[in-house]
This record gives sequence, structure tokens and C-alpha cells, in this order.
Amino acid sequence: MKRTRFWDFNARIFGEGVRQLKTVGILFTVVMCLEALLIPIGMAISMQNDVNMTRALVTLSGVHPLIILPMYTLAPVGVLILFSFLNKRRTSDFYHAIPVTRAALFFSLLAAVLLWVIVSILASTAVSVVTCLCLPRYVQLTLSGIPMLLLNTLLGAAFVAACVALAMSITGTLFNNIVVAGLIFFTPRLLLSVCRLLIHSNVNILSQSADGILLDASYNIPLGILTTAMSSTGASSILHSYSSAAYTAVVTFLYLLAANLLFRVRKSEAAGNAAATPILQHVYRIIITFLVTLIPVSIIFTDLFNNDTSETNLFYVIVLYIISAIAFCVYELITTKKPKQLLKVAPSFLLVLAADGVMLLCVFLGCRNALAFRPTVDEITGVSLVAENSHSYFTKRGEDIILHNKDAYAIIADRLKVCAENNSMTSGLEDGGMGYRVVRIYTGNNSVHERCLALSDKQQEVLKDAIMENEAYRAIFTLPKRDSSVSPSHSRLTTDEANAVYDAMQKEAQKLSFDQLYDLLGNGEYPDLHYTFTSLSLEVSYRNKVYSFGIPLTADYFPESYQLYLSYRYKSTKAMQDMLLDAMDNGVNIEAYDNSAGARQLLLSSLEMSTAQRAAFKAALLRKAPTTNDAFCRMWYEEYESRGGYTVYEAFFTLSDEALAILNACDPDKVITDAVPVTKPSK
Amino acid sequence: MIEVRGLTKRFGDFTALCNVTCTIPEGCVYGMVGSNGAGKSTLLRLISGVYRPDAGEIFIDGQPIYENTAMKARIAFVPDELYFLGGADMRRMARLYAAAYPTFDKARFAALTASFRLDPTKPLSTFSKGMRRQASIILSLSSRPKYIFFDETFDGLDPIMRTLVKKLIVEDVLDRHATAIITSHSLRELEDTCDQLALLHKGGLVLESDVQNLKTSLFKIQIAFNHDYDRDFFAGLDILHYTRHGSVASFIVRGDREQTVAALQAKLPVLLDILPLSLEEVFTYEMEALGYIFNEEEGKA
Repeated sequence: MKRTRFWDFNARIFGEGVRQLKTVGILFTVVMCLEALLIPIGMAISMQNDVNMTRALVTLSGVHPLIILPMYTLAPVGVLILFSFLNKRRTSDFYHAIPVTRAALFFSLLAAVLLWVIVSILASTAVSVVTCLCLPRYVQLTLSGIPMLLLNTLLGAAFVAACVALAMSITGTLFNNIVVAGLIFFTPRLLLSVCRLLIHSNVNILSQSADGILLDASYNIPLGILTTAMSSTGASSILHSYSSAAYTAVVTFLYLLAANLLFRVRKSEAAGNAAATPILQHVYRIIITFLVTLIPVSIIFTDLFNNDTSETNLFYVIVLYIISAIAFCVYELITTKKPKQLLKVAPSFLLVLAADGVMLLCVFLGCRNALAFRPTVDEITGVSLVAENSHSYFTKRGEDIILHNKDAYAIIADRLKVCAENNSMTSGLEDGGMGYRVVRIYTGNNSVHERCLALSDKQQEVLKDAIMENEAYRAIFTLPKRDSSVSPSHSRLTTDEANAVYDAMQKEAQKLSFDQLYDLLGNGEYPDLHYTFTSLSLEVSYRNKVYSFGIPLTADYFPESYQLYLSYRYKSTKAMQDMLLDAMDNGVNIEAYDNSAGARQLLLSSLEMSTAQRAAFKAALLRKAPTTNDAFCRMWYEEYESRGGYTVYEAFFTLSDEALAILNACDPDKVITDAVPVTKPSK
Repeated sequence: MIEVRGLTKRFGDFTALCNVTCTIPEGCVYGMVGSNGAGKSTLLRLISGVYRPDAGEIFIDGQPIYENTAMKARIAFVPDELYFLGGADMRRMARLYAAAYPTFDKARFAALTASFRLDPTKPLSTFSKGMRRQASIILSLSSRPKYIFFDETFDGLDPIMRTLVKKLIVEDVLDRHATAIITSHSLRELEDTCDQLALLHKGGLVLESDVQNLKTSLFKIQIAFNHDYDRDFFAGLDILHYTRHGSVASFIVRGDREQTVAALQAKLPVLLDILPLSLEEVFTYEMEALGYIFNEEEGKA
């Protein structure tokens, strides 16, 4: 018998496949293009209606979320349509009779599906990019990550297509196509996720973000996106990840290899049968039952690992195994409709139990292995602090910096030893005065492990000292230069004003020490609490993901920027000064700042003043933009609208000594923040 | 030339074909008859390269057919169950055939469509059963195949269209030296078209012969004598089937017609009639002689 070729391609059949998918492909492309057009326009409209909104820095996945749609719809639907000939005898016979090798049929039709995926992705991306470029006032699109995003989306679609093609190669009805495609798509990850869940729930010191390539769902692009969708964390990092691309490409290749092999050996007469061969019928039944038994397996493992068996759990396990046996029988009855067959296949339930045993062993070894990682100080070659689930730009940047500090090594080695021995993050620490840090530990042979450890305040100080002496950390703690990947924003400044304030802050930040910047930007802690009237938010595109951070706009650290900010605010609200003064008798809020006598904030209502005080206060207000050292106040009131929402009317005034005196004479209980010492920046 | 050697095909526990061997010469119209489940369609699918045999070999022009695209390109296979794309008309199907068959001839497609008076722009779903079959024949023959495999193709065709299709087959065989295999339940459909006939029964090829030879080698005798006689009275003749009602005996004889008549006349019968047999009768008696009984009740007995 002639050996069939693995790889073959037929351009005519490819063209025929493209024709057969024309309607579906065009429909998807149009839907995606419409979405790509409407979302940026919608963003622009909402920004135009909201005076507080400034230009948004967005990635393509943010402004065109449906870019992943072909992965979950067009790719599987396309394969289901083009390979549906495998489900009917006459169509199967037709395609097996034509002078095209099975490999050519397989790859040509698959390529036709992927072509439509590419068309829909590229067309909608082009629409999205052009729309964003046409709306520069509202949306700033970061273009750098687009090629990677497109590649990963295509790889994800190819993976899903490969799963469905593999399923269709071993089944012969639409129902079984879908069921088995689901099994192929989800089962490996479901098994790994159950392993991961069991290991994580039983080994407390493991970090959530580091599982290695197999246990981490995010490596598999389509599954990772689904997982993140359910866990409410963004899928953007998966769509821009090189490692996800590599992993998905490898798995897709393996699936295609298997699908192609099975497609070539598949008999035309398998069309219409639930399983292509009787052996596969056993395989499907065992897998489905095995998935049901994962629940009792989890209970058994948790009880055994923690030496905590209970009669209740034993009862649950027995009931769940009975349910799995029922599932075993029901599947067989549904697919074969032969009750007598049950007796024949009953012994294969033992294979399910054997698979459960293997699963238990694997998870046990995984837990043991995780707890066995207890390097000595000498074995550690570096540590870094991990920003688990953090969107903070500086924390993310810090992840990549490896600290080489023996004191830090000693703390980590000691904590790891104690925590692993007792399988507890907090072991060896007294209550209170501790914080949790996810630490990445580098040891010899390029081995990297991440652990979540509780550290005492003293131990955290040692880590901070290690950071302070690290040049790489010093280098990242500067305000990044404003360009296409850095977008400052402020709820009450225009984009141009926010840019100008940020530029001024960036200049002034150069005079600040690393300690001050680290406290301001990295730690989020202000030990000396500089009073801040407001802060500027920044969105920074880093590694194709948008991160953010806020910079407190303090008068002491950024005097010129502060001045600039106040002048902008004064100018933009000047027209409302008279209106606010008129409204004082009806009640307006007064928020006063006294920088001349240290930082001092007062908040009160105009109605808390006597009529005479109000009149005197109005007369004493200075209608000029406040300077950094001036005392000033912001007056405002909110007007609620009948259709919902409200409008804020506000105005700024410089406070004369007399006006400040009137405020200070008001009920001291209304002072919500009293004098706070200001620490001047160290020069 | 098509050579089939020891071909066996099983579907689960059911053996559809068992150790079938036959040779179909080039330029021949080969008819296959047999009851439902005899294995005709399975054999055609195997010869077309749709199925992979479980045992045995098939060679067309000396080459194996399975996954042999070069050979498949020279084959037109019209199955008993037809396949058309959903919502397609004949022009759309022609594009599919043109994509699959490099030798697809659009001019011939147009000419055949005109001959059959079919509207190529009309959806095939609106066609009658016979029209769909005509469309399938047109599409298959448009690739100018060297091998034409028609499975129950005459089902649903009206007499005029049957004649037209037979004419097309014969033209292809004569003009291009094509080889055709046609299966049918009905021998009458095949006897005026085929050069050779084969009978498949329960997965086996039980009879294969030249049509002309079949028609002339068997004949029916009706004979009467004015004395008592029995079957032994005709010893020396190759009698396949013998019945006697009163003084008149009827039997089927295989052999040379003139010699048989001479031998019988020598016995001085009072009645001697030589009757021709239809191909169907020839097959029935040949099969009976081989021990095959088609009647289910008789078969059980």
C-alpha cells in the first residue's frame, strides 16, 4: 500500500475552501470592522461629553476588544463548515474520491479557514488604527505591540482550528464533533488546572503567578484569555507575550500533526458514526468519566496530604464515585443505545480508577517538589520582588531587577526554610508587623522559583535597603519622558495642560533624591507625608501593556509645577467666581489650603459662617491666581441634573490674611485635616 | 485495465466484500448486478479509491489507486447517493469539480448541459431526482475521464435520458477508449450496453462472463414424446434446470445449439421448440447451477 504524504497543499482546493467560507468570512469581517470603527468613536463621544476626561492611551486590544472574536468563532465555525463533509457518507465519499491527497485536503481547507481569520483580523485592525488616527484628540493608540497582538491572535485561532480539526478527524457526527472538540480544547488544561489548584491550595507558600509552563494557563493563548476573562484580570499581557506565542505555536503544531495523521488514516465510512473507531469510543467514555472523578480525587488528595480524613468526606467520595459510574453508563447508553454493551465495557471503569491514581501521584509529587525548594544563602544567586497582579508601572519595572544582596538572600533563605518546613507563609513570625511579598528566587543552573512569604517589618527594611543600594532600581525611578507611550492625565486639566504640568514635574523630579522618588512612586508610602492637593495620573505603555501610576503634586517637591497647575485651574474657573460668591448665601463648599504656615487644609460650608463673616470673607478674597506659598481656597457646589449626573461649579481665590483669619475663626471641628508638617525636599 | 485481487472489505463485524478477484479490460463496459448488500457499491468505492481495502489489491493501469491522485484524476465516480454543495447551482458545482479535477473541460460541461437541457443557473435543490442525477453525470463526464464508474446511475432517469447517458458512455468508450463500470439491480438495464457482466452476491463475485457468450451459451428447450421419459433420457446434455408438466418437458441447456438440436431430434420428439433466454433468465439459471438461491425462503431451506 502506498504511504500517504504528511504535507501536501492544493491551491485549487484552498480556493474552493475560501469560496465556501465566503459568506461567513465576510459577515465576521463586517461585524469586526463595525466594532473597530464604533468603539473609538464611542470613546470620543463620551470624552467630548465629559469635560473631565482627557486623551486616553490605548492598546489595540483595548480599543478593539473583538479582535479575539475569530479565535472563538470564525476559526471553529470555519473548520466545522469546511470539514463537515466528514460527517455524511455521501460527502465524505465525494471528497475521498476526488484526485486530491488527504494531506492536501486537510491543509488546504485549514488554510482557507485561517485566511478568513487573517482577513477579518487585518481588516478590522486597519479600521481601528485609521479611526484612532482620525481621533487624535481623544485616543492615542500605541502601535508598537500590534504585530505581536496580531500574531498571537492568529496563533490562538490556529490552535482552536487545530482542536476542532482533530476532533472532526476522530468523530463522525456534529454532536460528537463539538463534544470532542470541547474535550480536546479543555481537558488537558482542566487537568493541569486541577493539579495547579490542588498544589496551590495545599502548598501555601507558592505564588499565584509562577507555575511553570505547563501549569500556567496563560501560556495557552485562547484558554489563557478565557481564564483571565473569568478572573477579571486583563488578557492583554497574553496577547502580547512571546512565551505564550511560542507555547501556543508548539501545541498547535502538535495538534495539527495529530489531526493530520488521524485525518489521513480516517476511513470514509466513519462518517455518521459517533467515533471513528471502536477504541476511540472507549477513550471518550473513559475521559468523560475521569473528568467527573476529579472532584472526589481532589477531596481524597486534600484529606491525605493534610492527614485530615473525615467520615463526611468519605461519604462524599463514595457518592461522587457512584455519580461518575452513572455518567460512565449514561454516556455509553446515549452514544451506543445498547444496554447490553454496558456489561462489555464495565471493566474499562478500572482504567478510570487507574487514571485517578496517576493523578493523585502527580499532584503529590508536585506538592513535595514545591516544598522541597529550600535553598541556602550560598545557593541563592539573586532575588527580585514580583508585582503579582499589579498594574503599577514602577512595581512592574522592578520585577526585572535582580537584587544581589547577601542580607536579602539570608532573609529569604531563612523564611523559605521555616515556611516550607511548616507549609505556612507566616510560620515563625509573631502576629502584627508583617507584610506579604512575592519573591522571585534565582539559584544555580538558571533555576527560578517564586514564593509568597510573610516578612516582618525589619525584614522588609532589609529588602528596602537592598533596593536603595541597587543602581538598576535607581535608574528606573525617574519620571519617564513624555512621548507616544506615556500619557499624563488629570480629571480637571486639558490634555495640553496636563502635559505641560507633567513636563514641569519631570524637570523638577531631576532634583529629587532616589529615596524621595522611591517613596513617592514605588512604595506608595510617604513617611513624612507631604501634603498634596492633587496628583497627576500617568498611563505608560510598557511591553505592550498599559500600566499606570500617580504622582502626588506636592508644593514642596514640585513648586513650579504646583504653581503652573494652580494657574491653569484658576484660569479655567475664573468665569465662575461671581457665581460662586453669589451662591455663598445658599451654601457652597469651601476648601482652603494654607501653605504659608505649613500644609493646612480646612473644609467647611459657607453656611457655617455668619452673614457678617460671609460678607467680610467675600470682600477679603483676592481675585488672582494663587502662588505656591499663598493660602488659597477652592469654592464649589454641585448641581444635580434631572437625567442623572451632576455638574460641578467651582472657582479659586487667593486668600488674604484677613480671609484666612475669618476661616480660622470658624468652628475648629470643621477642620478635617489639621496642620501637617511639610518636609522640604533634600537638595 | 483494472485488476482486482483478493479484495476484502469489512465494516465492523460485517464483511461487505470477501476475496473478490476480477479483471476488467481496457475499453470495456462492465456491468455489475446483485441484490441489495451484495457489495456492488463497496467494490466501486474501493476501485475509486474512496475506501482502503482490508485485504487484497487494486491496480488500475498497473498502479494502486488508494491516495493516488494521478489515477483518481482519470476516474469519474457517480455514486448512488449524490453530493452537491448546499444552495449550489450547476455552475457552482462545476467550479468545485474544476478545482478538484485538473482535466475538467468547461466546453464539454456546457455542451452536455445543453444536451440534457438543464439550466446551469438554477439551484440544484429545485431539480427533480432524475435531473440531479443528470447533473451529476454531466459534472463527472466533463472531466473527460478514462474510467467511468456509475453506481445505480440509471435509477430515476426517464427512458430518453437513459438512452442519452448510455450513448454518452458508449461514445466515450469508442472514441477515447474509456472503461466503464456500471452497477444496477436490473440486468435489463445493462444487457444492451455492457460487454461483460458480473454478478455479486453476499460480498462475493459469483459469476463473470462476456454478455454475448452468456446469451448464446444457454437456451431453453420445450420437448414432448409419445412415450414415458425422465431426465436421464437426456443424458449427455448439460441441463441446468429441468421441469416436466404432463408429456412436455422444459429445460435449460448449456452448450452448442445446433449439436443439441440434432441430438434431440434423433430421439424423435413429437414437439421440439428452442426458445431464446433473456439475460436475466440466463443469470438466474447459471446462479441456480452454482447453488445460489435468491429467494430468501429457499435460501433458508
